[in-house]
Amino acid sequence: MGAKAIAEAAVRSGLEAYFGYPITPSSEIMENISVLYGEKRYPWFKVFLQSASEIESVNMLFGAGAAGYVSMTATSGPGLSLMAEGISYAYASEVPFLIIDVNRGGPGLGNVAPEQSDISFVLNSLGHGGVKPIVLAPHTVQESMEHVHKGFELAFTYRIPVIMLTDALIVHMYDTVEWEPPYIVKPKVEWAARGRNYGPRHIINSIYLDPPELKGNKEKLLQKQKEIDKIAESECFMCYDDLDVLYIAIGISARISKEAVLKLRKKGVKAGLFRPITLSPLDKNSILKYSSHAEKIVSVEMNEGQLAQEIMRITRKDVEVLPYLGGYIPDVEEVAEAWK
Amino acid sequence: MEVKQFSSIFENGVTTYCPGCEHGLLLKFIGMALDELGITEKAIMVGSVGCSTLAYKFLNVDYVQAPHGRAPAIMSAIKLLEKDKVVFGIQGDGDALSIGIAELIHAANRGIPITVFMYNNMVFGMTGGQMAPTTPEGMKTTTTPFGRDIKQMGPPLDACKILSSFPQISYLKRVVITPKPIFTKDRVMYSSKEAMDSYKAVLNAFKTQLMEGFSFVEFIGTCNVNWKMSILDSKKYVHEVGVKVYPPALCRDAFGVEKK
Amino acid sequence: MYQVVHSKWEVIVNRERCKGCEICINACPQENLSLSKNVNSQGYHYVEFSEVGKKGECTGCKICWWVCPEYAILEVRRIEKTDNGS
Ligand SMILES: Cc1ncc(C[n+]2csc(CCOP(=O)(O)OP(=O)(O)O)c2C)c(N)n1
Ligand code: SF4
Ligand code: SF4
Ligand code: SF4
Repeated sequence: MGAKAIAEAAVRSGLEAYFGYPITPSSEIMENISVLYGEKRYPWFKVFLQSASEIESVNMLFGAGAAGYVSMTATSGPGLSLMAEGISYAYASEVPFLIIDVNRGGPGLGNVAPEQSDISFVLNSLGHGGVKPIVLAPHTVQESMEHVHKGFELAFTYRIPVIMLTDALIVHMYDTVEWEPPYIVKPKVEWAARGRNYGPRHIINSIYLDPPELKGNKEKLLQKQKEIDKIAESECFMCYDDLDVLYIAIGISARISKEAVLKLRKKGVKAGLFRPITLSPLDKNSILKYSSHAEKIVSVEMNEGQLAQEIMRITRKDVEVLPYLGGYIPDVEEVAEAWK
Repeated sequence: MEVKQFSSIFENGVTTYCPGCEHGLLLKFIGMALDELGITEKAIMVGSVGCSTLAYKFLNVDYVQAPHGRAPAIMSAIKLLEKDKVVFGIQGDGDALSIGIAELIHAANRGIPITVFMYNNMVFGMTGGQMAPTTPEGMKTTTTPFGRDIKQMGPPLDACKILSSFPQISYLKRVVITPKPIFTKDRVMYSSKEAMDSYKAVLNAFKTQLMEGFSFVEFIGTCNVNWKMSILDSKKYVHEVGVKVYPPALCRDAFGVEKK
Repeated sequence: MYQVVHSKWEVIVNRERCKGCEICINACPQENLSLSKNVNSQGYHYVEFSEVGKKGECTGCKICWWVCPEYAILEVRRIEKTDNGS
C-alpha cells in the first residue's frame, strides 16, 4: 500500500521524529510509521508522538527542525489549514520539515474521497506574509517514496518546509516498487538550536521589528527562491512532435491521463502529457516549450481548475479544464475524448 | 576591580520592557539561575509572542521564536530530541492560557521535562492592554471598558488550579514577583522578599527539569502602562487585588527541591 | 603603629540599562540612591549611588540589587582600603 511504502521510505531515509494527528485519508501513513518506531534497525528514529492537534504537530515539527532533526507529518486539507501559521513561521525562520498532504474532498469537512483541491492553497497561500514552500507531486507509489527521500534532502539543503501533495488514491493503492531508499545525505546543521555549547548562539527567529531588517530577511528568502527555481522538474510524456493536444495533470490524474495519451497515440492522435514533478517551483521553461507546440491544452484535475490557473499564468494561453469534483476520479475514455 | 557579570546575560543587553515592569526581573532571575546552575551553554529558550518576545536580545542563549501560544509544543519537541539540554520558555498569561492553553495542557500532561515560566500581568500587554482570561472581575481594560463581567466572561482562569490535576507535573508554583510597597511615616519603600522568592522559584524550576520533571511557575506581576497606573499604584494593585485572586502557593514539588 | 581597614560598600550601576523607574531609590533603607540630572542614551535619567545616604552609609543589604528589574544594578560589593594609621 502507498502508505506503507511512504512509511518505509521515510524511516529508511533517516526520519528522526514523527509528529501527527490522525485524519482520513492520511492516517495509514502515521499508523505504518508507528510500527517502525523502536525497531533496532532504525536507531536514528528517536521520537514518534501523536499530537493533540495539527497546530501542535506543526509546531513540534518546527521545534524538531529548529534543532536540526529530520521530521515529518502526514495530514489532509483540514489539518493543513490549521498548520498554515506554523508553516509561515518555519518558512520565515528557515526551518526544515516535510508535510505530506493527502488531499481529500473539500472545502469544509467535504469528504474523504480523493480530490486535488489543495493545489491553490499549497502553492499560493500556505501561511500569511508570502510563503512559498517546495511542493512535490508524485504520481505513483514508487515516486511517493522517492519524493519523501528527496523532500528530506531538499528541506535541509534549502532550510525550508517541503510539502508533498498527494491524494487518497495513491496513498491507498497497491503497486509494485523497485527501490531501496538509501539514508539521506543530510547537510551539516551548524545553525541548529541545540544549545550554545561554548560556541556562538543559534537564533531561529522570524521577528524583525525594524523595516530594514525585515526587508533584508525577505530579500534573503527571495534570493534563496531563485536558487530553488533551478530544481524545477517535470516530465513530458509522449511529447515528441507538434501536439494535437497537450494534457496537463499531476498525481492520480496524471497516471490516468497517461493511459488516455497512449490510447490516442494508437489512434494516431498526437497527444502528450505534461506532468509537473515539482509543483513549486514549476518548470516554467518546459511548460513554455511544450505548450508552444500544442494545438490545444487540457488540464485534467480533480478540482475546478486550480492547476490550469497556474499553467495559464505562465503560458498566457487558454487551458481547457476537465474537472472532476467531489471525489470522482478521471475516466480514461472521457480524458481521451477531451482532445477534440 | 572587575564587575561580576552573568555569562547568560549580554553585557550591553537592554530589555525592551517599560520602566518598572517585572518582566525584566524575571529575565534577570532566569539569567542568574542559568549561571548559578552552570547550564547556560546547554540552554535553549523558546520565546512566545507577547512582551517577552524580545528576551533574546537580553539572554545570551540559543533561541527559537514560537508562534503565539505554541511554545510548549516546540519546547516538547526539542526536549524529546535533545534530552540532555535545558529547554525553557517564558509565556504571557494570554499566550499560555488563552490562545495556547491546549499546547500548555498537553505538554504538562505528558510531563515532558521542560520549564515554563508564565508572567501573569492579567492583561494582554504587548497588544495594548486588552482583557486576558486572567483579568480579575471588574478590572477595566481596553476591551472591558466597564470592567470584566464575570457573568459573560467567566471568572479569571487559574493556571495552577488547572495544572494541579495533571499527575506528571513535578513542580508547580505561583509566586508574586512584584516588590511589595511598604508605607512608612515619611515615604514608600519596597520589599525585596518577593524578588528573592521568585528567584528561588526559578532556580527550583530548573532543578526540577534537571531531575527530569516538568516545571511550571506562574509569576504575578504588573503591567503599569496598560493598567494606566503609576508604578507604585500598579504594585499596590498586585498586593491588594492580585494576591486575592492569585494567592501564592506551592502546588506541587514532587522531588522536594524546595527543601534542598 | 597600627593598621586601619576602612571597609565600605559600593553599588555598581550600569547607566545604560537603567530606566529610572526609581524602585531601587525607594527600596533603599539608607537612601543612598538618587536620580541623576543627566540622561543615558535611551533618554532615561539614571540612578547614581553615593556612599553616604540621607539615613547613613550603605549597609550592603542588596535590596536595591534584588528589586531592580533591569539588571542595571550589577553588583553590590565591599571595597577595602587599607592605610597605615598614625
Ligand atoms: C495568532 C496571533 N493572534 C494574535 C496575535 C497578537 N498578539 C500578540 S501578543 C498578544 C497577547 C500577549 O499577551 P500576553 O501573552 O499576556 O503577554 P504580555 O504581552 O502581556 O506579556 C496578542 C493577542 C498574534 N501575534 N498572533
Ligand atoms: S506593556 Fe506591560 S507587560 Fe509589557 S513591558 Fe510594558 S508594562 Fe510590561
Ligand atoms: S545595598 Fe542596601 S543600603 Fe546599599 S544602596 Fe543598596 S539598598 Fe541601599
Ligand atoms: S531599579 Fe534599576 S532601572 Fe529602576 S531606577 Fe533603579 S537602577 Fe534604574
